Amino acid sequence: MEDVVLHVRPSACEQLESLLQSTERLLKPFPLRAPPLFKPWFIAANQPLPIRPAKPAPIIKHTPHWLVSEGVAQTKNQSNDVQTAPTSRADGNPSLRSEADHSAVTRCWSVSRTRGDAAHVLPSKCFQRSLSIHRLHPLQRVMWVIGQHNCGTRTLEQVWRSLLRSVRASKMPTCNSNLQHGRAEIWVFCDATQAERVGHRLKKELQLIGRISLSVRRLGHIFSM
Amino acid sequence: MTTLTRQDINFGQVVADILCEFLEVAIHLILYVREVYPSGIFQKRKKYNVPVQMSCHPELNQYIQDTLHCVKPLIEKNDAEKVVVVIMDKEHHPVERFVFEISQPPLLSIRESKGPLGGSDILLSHVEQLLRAFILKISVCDAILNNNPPGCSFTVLVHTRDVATRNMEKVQVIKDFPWIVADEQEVNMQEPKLIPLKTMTSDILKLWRAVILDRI
Amino acid sequence: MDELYLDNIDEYVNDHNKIVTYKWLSLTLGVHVNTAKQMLFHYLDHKRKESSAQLHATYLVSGKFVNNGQTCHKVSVIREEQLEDVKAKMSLIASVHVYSIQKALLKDSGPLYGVDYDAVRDNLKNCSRFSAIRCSSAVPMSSQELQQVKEIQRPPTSEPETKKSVSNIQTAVASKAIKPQKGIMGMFSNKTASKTQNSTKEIKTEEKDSPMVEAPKSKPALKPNSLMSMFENQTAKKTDKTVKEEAPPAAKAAPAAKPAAVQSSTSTSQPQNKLSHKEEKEEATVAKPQKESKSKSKRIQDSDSEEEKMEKKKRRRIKKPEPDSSDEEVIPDSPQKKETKEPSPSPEKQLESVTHSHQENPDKRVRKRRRVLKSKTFVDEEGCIVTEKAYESESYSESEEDFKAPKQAARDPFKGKLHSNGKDEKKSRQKASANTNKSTKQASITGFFQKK
Repeated sequence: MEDVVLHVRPSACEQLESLLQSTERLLKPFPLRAPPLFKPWFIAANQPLPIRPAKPAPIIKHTPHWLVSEGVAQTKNQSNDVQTAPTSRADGNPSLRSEADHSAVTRCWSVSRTRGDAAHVLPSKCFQRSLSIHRLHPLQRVMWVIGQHNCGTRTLEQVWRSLLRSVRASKMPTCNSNLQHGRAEIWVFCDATQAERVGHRLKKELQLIGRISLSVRRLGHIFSM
Repeated sequence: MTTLTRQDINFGQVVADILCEFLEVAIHLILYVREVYPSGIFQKRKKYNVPVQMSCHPELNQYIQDTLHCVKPLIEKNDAEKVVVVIMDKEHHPVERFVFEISQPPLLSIRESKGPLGGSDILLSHVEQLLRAFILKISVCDAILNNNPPGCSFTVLVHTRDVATRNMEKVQVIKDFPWIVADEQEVNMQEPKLIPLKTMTSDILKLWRAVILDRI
Repeated sequence: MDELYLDNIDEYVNDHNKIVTYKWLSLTLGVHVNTAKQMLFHYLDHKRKESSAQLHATYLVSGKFVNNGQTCHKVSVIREEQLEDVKAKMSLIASVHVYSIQKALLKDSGPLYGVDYDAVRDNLKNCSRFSAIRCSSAVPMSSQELQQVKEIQRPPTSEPETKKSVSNIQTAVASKAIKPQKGIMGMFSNKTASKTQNSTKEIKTEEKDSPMVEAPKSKPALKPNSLMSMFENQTAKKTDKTVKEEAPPAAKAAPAAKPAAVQSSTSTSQPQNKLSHKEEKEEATVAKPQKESKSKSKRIQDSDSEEEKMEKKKRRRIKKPEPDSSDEEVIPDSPQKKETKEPSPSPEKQLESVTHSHQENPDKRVRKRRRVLKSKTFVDEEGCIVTEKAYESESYSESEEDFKAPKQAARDPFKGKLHSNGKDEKKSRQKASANTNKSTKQASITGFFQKK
């Protein structure tokens, strides 16, 4: 290569090193790739055949049930919309189901969807009063505490399992719940406005005995039933 | 202006990464739009900042991934000429082919307009925009296609540039996922009809896509 | 209105096989959105009379809707054939207009968002020019304000930097190489990022890494996570409603989302909207966020084992050095414990706390909640695998949200779910967090070339 003279402004002297470097890079020939030869689009007889995976793609006739979550199924009844929800809740592939059995796990939390049915049962006067005494916003989160003393002969774990079932069946609007192993308590969070309803449901669904206590952060115990 | 050359970064790899990601999205979307699989196995995901439909079926996803995993080295080495998503009827006759013709532009240069990598930022966001446009084209392609018969399945064909490079052992980078040469029957259509869908050319890759139909 | 536009629309719809939404049309032709809606209506009317080639239309219908006795305002984007049906179900119809016209029969709402995306993106500066919705108080920051924000931002950056500079080389690599990179190919950056990461690993925990990676400070401090969040910021007032976290999603999400193609498609950005309003929220529901955040973090920790690969991300979050924070916190009678264990604050977070300090207790850590739609898979007590999709409130700190939210959405389809390439993930997270100053949409592909 011929010599190349690099003219630099005095002000740029400090960057001389980097200027040299970039100059060198600039002087490198552009990498060129030979354009591919023209080939007719449709495969002629003498052309090699393409390759493909030996294995055929899986065949899926129905949406396996485990892909259809409750949440999705819920949108399904509204499916007259552009947004598509899975449409078939067909019988799942049994093999896939058995596959699920291998690991039984326990969780210690649960979150419920907020459902449309969450409203319209107004809290009782008495409960409303205690909400207003404490100036609780209707959507303030409050917490029911279920202790071992509410469970009678059952263990807290057993109650927890029934609670999970209820939550999954959406019987517990606005609830998040939480099994506190360390404290031997189940905490069920819900909106203040729903608290009474949730409380009744908890007692009924879980067949709790005794009184359960409702707490609010900062205020502590505010109500029991 | 600085030029990033193949020495600077592995260009083939960049292109292969971009393309394989795109192909994955495209295959899922084609399978969804052309109803090869029940719509229930698809879920909305975000790609290139727009919603796309992706399968949630582990078996299918694995199959697509394995396939692309083997395709990627070919694209990297610029050996893959076309990647074809073939939709076949029950008798394994191809009814539709979505052809992705891949070529890389002869001059690999990325200009840096200002600041470090400023230029490539713009370039790549441009590529992303083009890929978004491809995605959109797939979404609306049923306007120009007929409904497929029930019971369709699909496969992916790869046309290589050079037979010599087509060493099956090289292609088979995943154990238990062998590749074979396709049957003539799987490749040839009776009365093929070509519908170009979209071309994109950017500084780093060129992608051309068409559908070939066997039906009029 | 002359009728030439009919030819325009015809060309878009028929020749280009485009989905023509009123918004796209408005931005493309530079006409007011209401004009665009009329154009679409006329065009459709025209074509229907001609009974020429088949066209499909979607409509937007909004109005009062009674769901289980609860009245809500419902906005739906629906197919033409559902129009009468949906209208009949509304107790009061506020508006009906053509939303889009296309040749293809849309299978879902995704493409509707997709078409608008680039149109809005190309007109980012003035994308609301033709909009019918105005917010006069939403004005761009003046250069002075920007300067101020930058200055506030500076101090925090120094802290990570010092940590980072443990090795000079590495600093260089990081500042040079780390780039915004959320969407497309985190994998790409693997090399750079892993380099950085390896070298820094000894000093910091995984999570702490992210804040270290600083984006150049010179750019505007606005950090739009997505296009949408940008808008939401500007139209904060209007979106107030959606922002309120505790409003029942049933009213919000379910009815709106299903038809509301648009809404649902933008829903990914919702968490971010909320961000922008977090102060308001914070005030309104001080107690609740904390409580929930606790139950959340608890849950995350405990649920670790059962979550499937799908939940990789979440899992990763678990590793965050956030010790079993909050159980006590929620408990009313043990208020002594505060959530002070927040990992070292990220620059962004500090920024936030500075700017909003008038509203927040200085000693309260900046922890917010958002509601996110998540699907989780688990084996229930009957031994079935169940995938639940649920809105969850989730606590996060600013440092997280910048990268997690967008990344989650963007990356999920592939790596996130299928093979949990941990390195990958971390990496992209790093990158993402560096992205604060750039608009995300460019983030995805960009960043490839940093490698080297």
